Amino acid sequence: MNTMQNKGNTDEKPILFGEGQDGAARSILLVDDHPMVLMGMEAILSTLPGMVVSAKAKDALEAIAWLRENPTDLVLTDIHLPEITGVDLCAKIKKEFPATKVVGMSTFNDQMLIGKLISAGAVGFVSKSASAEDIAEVILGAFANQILIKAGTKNHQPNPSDNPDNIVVTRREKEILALISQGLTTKEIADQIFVSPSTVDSHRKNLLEKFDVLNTASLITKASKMGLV
Amino acid sequence: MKGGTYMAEEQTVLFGHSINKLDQAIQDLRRVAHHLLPAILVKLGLIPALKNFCQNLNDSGLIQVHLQHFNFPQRLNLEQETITYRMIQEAVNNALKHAEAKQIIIQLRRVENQIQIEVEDDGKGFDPTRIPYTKAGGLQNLKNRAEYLKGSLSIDSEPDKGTTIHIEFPLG
Repeated sequence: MNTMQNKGNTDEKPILFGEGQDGAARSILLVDDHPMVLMGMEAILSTLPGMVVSAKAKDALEAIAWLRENPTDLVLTDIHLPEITGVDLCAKIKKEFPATKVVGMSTFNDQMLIGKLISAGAVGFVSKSASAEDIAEVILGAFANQILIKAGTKNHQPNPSDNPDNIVVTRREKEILALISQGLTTKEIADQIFVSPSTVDSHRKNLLEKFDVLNTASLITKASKMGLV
Repeated sequence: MKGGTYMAEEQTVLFGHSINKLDQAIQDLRRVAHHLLPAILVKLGLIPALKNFCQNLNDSGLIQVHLQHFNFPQRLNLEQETITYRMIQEAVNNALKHAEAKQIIIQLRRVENQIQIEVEDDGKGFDPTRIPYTKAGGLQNLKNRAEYLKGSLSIDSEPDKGTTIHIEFPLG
């Protein structure tokens, strides 16, 4: 535990451990293998009233060692930790210290990992590219028993349809593309394929989104370049 | 026995018993797994659960599954989410097992007050007017679930042209 960056004297337990006591500050343990992240997160969390970062750990082993000695209200952990991942750490914390809440953080917004994390018992996830407000919201949400996922605005996990190089269209969409290119109106298309005009309209809008174009004319141009109509 | 290994009759019987027990255990496990709801579905809703489901399939390398969603509400009620998840799971399993598909597209949309879902595969397809006895039960089961949600289910398929399952139900 000598690498544990405890606030103040390591022999002395922080005063602000008031698990369950009203009015006492909530204790937070930060876990990340990058010192800059630990410092940055601590700076952000220190602005939140009623929260105190009681310790910072660089890996899961340090975190568990700290938790054994010091009841902690919440652990904010990186998912990509060396050796033992944040997901495994989360599962272990929920098993050994069920009262301690866990929130995950990561640079990557990998849906699968976020899913695993939540399944392991975490009550939130925040991207490292999220704003200070988002981070605060997720932490406060966790204490209010609300699971919040803030995946940040950058490097969001793309919907497969976001990727213009890999446009996958369904047979129904191909059919509609063909009918649009023949100059049929929404109503005419709807009658021809036995769906409601609003369904045709929805397909048309979704196709604009998939092909990343603003109007039907560019949609048809792009689709014909790709050999779809 | 392969490779010139011989077993006494007694051992062969024991061996057979063990295989039967294993088969039973595997079947039990499948039954249990089928009834387990993924935690992510309950906690985060249909789209994150399906992303997980698709990623698992894609990681298996057996098939390519594309998940697409447009204007889809973050949460439905739990009953709708559970039944929808099961229907999609069933449709994908059918495509894998019977159709030998290489690619599946799962598309979910909200259009006004309707939820519309398509599961499309590029597999063998079949003639929907002549559904073999082995498939009839599974498809009827899918229809029953859609009807339970006050919705409907239809199947587009042709031999060698793949299969599309359309599901529609009101959001309400």
